Amino acid sequence: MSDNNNNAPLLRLEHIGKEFYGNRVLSDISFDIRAGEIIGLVGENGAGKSTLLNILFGMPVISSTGGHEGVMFIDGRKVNFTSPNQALAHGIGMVHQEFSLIPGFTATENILLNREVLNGSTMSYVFSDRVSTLDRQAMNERARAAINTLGVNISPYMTVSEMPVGYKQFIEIAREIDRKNTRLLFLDEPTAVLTETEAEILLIALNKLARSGIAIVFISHRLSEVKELCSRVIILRDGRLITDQKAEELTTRQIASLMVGRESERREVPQEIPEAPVEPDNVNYTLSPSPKKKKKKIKPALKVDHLWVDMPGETVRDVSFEVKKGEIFGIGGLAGHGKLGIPNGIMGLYPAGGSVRLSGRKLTLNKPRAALGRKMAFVSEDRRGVGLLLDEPLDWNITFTAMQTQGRFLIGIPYIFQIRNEHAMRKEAKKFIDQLEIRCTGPHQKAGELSGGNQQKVCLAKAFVLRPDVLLICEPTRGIDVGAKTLVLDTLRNYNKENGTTIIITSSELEELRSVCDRVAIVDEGRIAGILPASSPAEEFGMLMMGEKMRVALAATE
Amino acid sequence: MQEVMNEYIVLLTQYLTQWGISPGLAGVILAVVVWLLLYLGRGLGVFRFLMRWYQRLLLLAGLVALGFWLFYIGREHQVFLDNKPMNDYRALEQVNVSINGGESVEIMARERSVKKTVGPEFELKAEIFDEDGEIVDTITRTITPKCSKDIMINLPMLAGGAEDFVLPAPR
Amino acid sequence: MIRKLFDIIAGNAVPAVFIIISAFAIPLSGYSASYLIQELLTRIGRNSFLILSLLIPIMAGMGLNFGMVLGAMAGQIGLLFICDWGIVGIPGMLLACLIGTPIAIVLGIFCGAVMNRAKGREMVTSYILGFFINGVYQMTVLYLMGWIIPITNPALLLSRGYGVRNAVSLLGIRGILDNLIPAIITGTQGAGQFFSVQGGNAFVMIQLPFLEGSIRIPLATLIVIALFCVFIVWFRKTKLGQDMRAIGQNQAVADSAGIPVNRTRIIAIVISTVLACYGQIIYLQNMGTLNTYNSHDQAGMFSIAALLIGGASVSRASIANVFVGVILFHLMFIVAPMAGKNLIGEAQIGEYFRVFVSYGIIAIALVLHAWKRNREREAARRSLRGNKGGE
Repeated sequence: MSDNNNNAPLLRLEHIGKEFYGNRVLSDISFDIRAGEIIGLVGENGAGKSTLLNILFGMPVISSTGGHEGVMFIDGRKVNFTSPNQALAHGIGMVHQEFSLIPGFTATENILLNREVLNGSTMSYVFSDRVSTLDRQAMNERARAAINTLGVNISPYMTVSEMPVGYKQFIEIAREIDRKNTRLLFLDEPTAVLTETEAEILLIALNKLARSGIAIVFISHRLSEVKELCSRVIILRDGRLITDQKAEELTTRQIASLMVGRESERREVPQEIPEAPVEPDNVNYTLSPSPKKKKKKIKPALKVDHLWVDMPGETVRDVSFEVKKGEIFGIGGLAGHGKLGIPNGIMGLYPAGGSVRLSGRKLTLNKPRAALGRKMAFVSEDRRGVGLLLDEPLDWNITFTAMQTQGRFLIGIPYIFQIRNEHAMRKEAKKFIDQLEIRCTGPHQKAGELSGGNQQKVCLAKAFVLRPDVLLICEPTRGIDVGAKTLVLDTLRNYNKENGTTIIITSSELEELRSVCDRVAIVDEGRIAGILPASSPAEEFGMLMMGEKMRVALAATE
Repeated sequence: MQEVMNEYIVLLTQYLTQWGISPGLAGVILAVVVWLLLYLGRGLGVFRFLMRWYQRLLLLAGLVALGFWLFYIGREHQVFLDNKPMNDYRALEQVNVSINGGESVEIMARERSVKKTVGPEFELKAEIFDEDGEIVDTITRTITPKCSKDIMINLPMLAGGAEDFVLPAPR
Repeated sequence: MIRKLFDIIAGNAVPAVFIIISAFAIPLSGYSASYLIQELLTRIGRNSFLILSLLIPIMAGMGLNFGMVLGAMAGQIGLLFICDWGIVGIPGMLLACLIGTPIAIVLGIFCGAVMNRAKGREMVTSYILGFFINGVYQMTVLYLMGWIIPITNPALLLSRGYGVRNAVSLLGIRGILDNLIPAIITGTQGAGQFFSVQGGNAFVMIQLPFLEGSIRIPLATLIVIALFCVFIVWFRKTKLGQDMRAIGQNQAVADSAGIPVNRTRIIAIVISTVLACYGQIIYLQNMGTLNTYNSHDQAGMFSIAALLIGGASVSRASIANVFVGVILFHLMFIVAPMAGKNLIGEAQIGEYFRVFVSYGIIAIALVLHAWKRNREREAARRSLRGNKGGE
């Protein structure tokens, strides 16, 4: 290698830009990454992070839409990837947000997927190496080595389908580590599914990896982690590079405001800011305070008794609670403990049992139509799968459920001949687009083309159109950026205030629940561990959640 | 250049036959030698590539050869045994013919019979009788129909000692 | 404990139903044990290879597919050629395999390429593709053979001079593999009878005094089938097998890991068609006649039915499923007509019963399969909740 190459950064981007069908999503992105660096890449959803990653990985999406602008250099040499395999060959590894693991395979088989250790075979010449048998022992050793690098203890023989979510994330990373030539590792929201302790172990492991010379690009919405882990922070906003600075020079607050930009005056969700310790009374919300004082003894809007729900990964075992009319009720807890199962079970999306009473009358379970007919609305945590018809325009999406279950937006004689009232649909859609500030080209844009935050707003609009008495919302802010988060929560609160709708919010973000809700129930292992008023101290919620684990985490933050 | 090569090949063949090595065997030895060379150089990427195609070629050649060989050894022939006068040879009174030591068939004068055999060659045993039913002659011949499907054997010619007693099968 | 037992039975509901039916039908049919065993052995030898050829595509997540019918056609073309050339015996069979192989490979690649465009609907796609290739096959055999493709043997050709006759005798290779290594199980009474038939030179002879009559074992065929099983076991351990398992479970993940998904799927189908080609040749050497235009027709349907009866599913099938399936399926085939006749006393009922059973079996197997899958899903959900929750 010449001196020139030694001095060259591992990866250099020069003036990278990209347009999709005349929509500019990235412009003039230039930065360097050197060996052993950990770089935090942050930006709102729709800021262009995913497009940048797609370009770096040579995803077909890019080349099929006319390629990109600008040039990339690896070790000072110009490269242009046309397939992900080329990127892999250059030592660029990627851990995706969605798990790309094979459920029926063991940890070893997944870590060494398509890089198996082979026994030699005479036939391998005639056909190819693919007819050689696998050397299981060597594979297990390699897998164990990769897992050990991460500092976790996972058996290489364990089947992935039997693993807790956190383990899967480690297996994904171990897979990239095992690749001998990996020099640059992209991690997309790696801590999103981890518990606090697991996240901490991961951060330590990443530091260790960086010291061994691997450059890491860490993409996260958890700014405190970014601040803690990264040496440099790169902030994208609206497809532009806003800052490329040393992490020490920035506070999380600054990062957040740079990310959001247009809303820089607004303060962020406090959970993102470790400098301001989690003390609910100190939380400065520019939002209107929740209507805590208006509590009256009224009959419960929703009464749940001994509910069980068979939702894969979110099993509910035995849950009982009451929600008062006009209340905002929060359901919190760690991922995988069943909090998502409760609303999904009530709405009949997964097999459920027990009794659910809506204003005193029993609700038929396991029939989504029955639940919708009783003026309940539901915003699923699975926006793209359950929540939206991705290939249909916004006005369809917004009015679809109302049309189906309440017969609105239709002209004609009911039950005999009815057609869609396109005009009314468009008008309704426009109303919500303005009201919720949905960023789109109009009611005719396809839902799949919107960014995560805007899709979430469409989901909310869809629920509001139903004029529900009880609104169940799952993970309203999952995967959406800071600006959109506050907007969504604001919307919910205002809607509750204006219409007196009972709202049940399920969220992994405890602080979010505490800021919006009147009462918060904490779910642990499929059961309600306790229901507390939102004003209770954070520690109490923490104790309910996980006991030991949480205490450790709290001790660490102090 | 070509002439030199041809001359060389001729010389080589002569040399090899001296040692009792037929050209076929020489081909096999050559294949093994090339294999060894490629095997020794297997560390190099090019050699790996060459080895792959070489082995594939060998396999293909082997399979084709196997096909021909199977065709050769597995072919069933109909052997027509003809006891009719031909050229100057008179029909025989009675011939008992057995093929590969199997059951024998009686063929009287001006008769024709048919037998089936498998494989490139067979042993034909003909017992020739005179008018009195006495065996006058026993002829044992190995006949190689090779790949031709059906053949006819003219027994009078066989008995008379003619060499061209194997005739094409009748239509 | 009782629950566990129930789960075991329910988990194997399809084979269980057939075992129960057979348990009733066997005594009704009145067949002797030696007759049944003889028939079963013959049919295991005849059909197992064809059914085994289904396993590899299932492993690659391509479901139960009729791609094997294409292989069966390739095998038949090989057989037609050796008949024309008059190649007999083991060399004849091997040559037929050798000729069939490239045809099966080409058809397999074609079939795989089509299936890659119809992912997730392989079963029906391959079924219809089978019809299409059947048309091509019929055109080849009925018009091209004897006209463009040289076929000279008048015993094979239709009287008009081109096209192959409907029934082609495979006398040259009939039973050649089955009887390659003569083996026999005999009771004391049956021994003499057998010796007169076989000339008394059995390679393997087992005497079981309690057995009436004698049973001939197609030993060489069974050895070939055993070798095939070894091949499958070995294949599962190879990189290619591992890749196929990965693709079978999650194509997207396998793709992102750099496994060439489409290519691997095509390889799976090619292996299946080539093996089905050999399977059909083994099948026909046992039958002794080739119905040029029908022999391959039922190959796919019956193989799939047998595999399902053996307890396989669309996504999982093992070697054990194959043998359980072939035994139960053919046990039904053997005893059902006779049982029907004895039960109702109508001679024609047997034939009706045979058709009824063979198609009914497939329908039942598919329904039971769906039921079983639902049960599995429910059990999986219950296990998530644990025993703690209310029911």
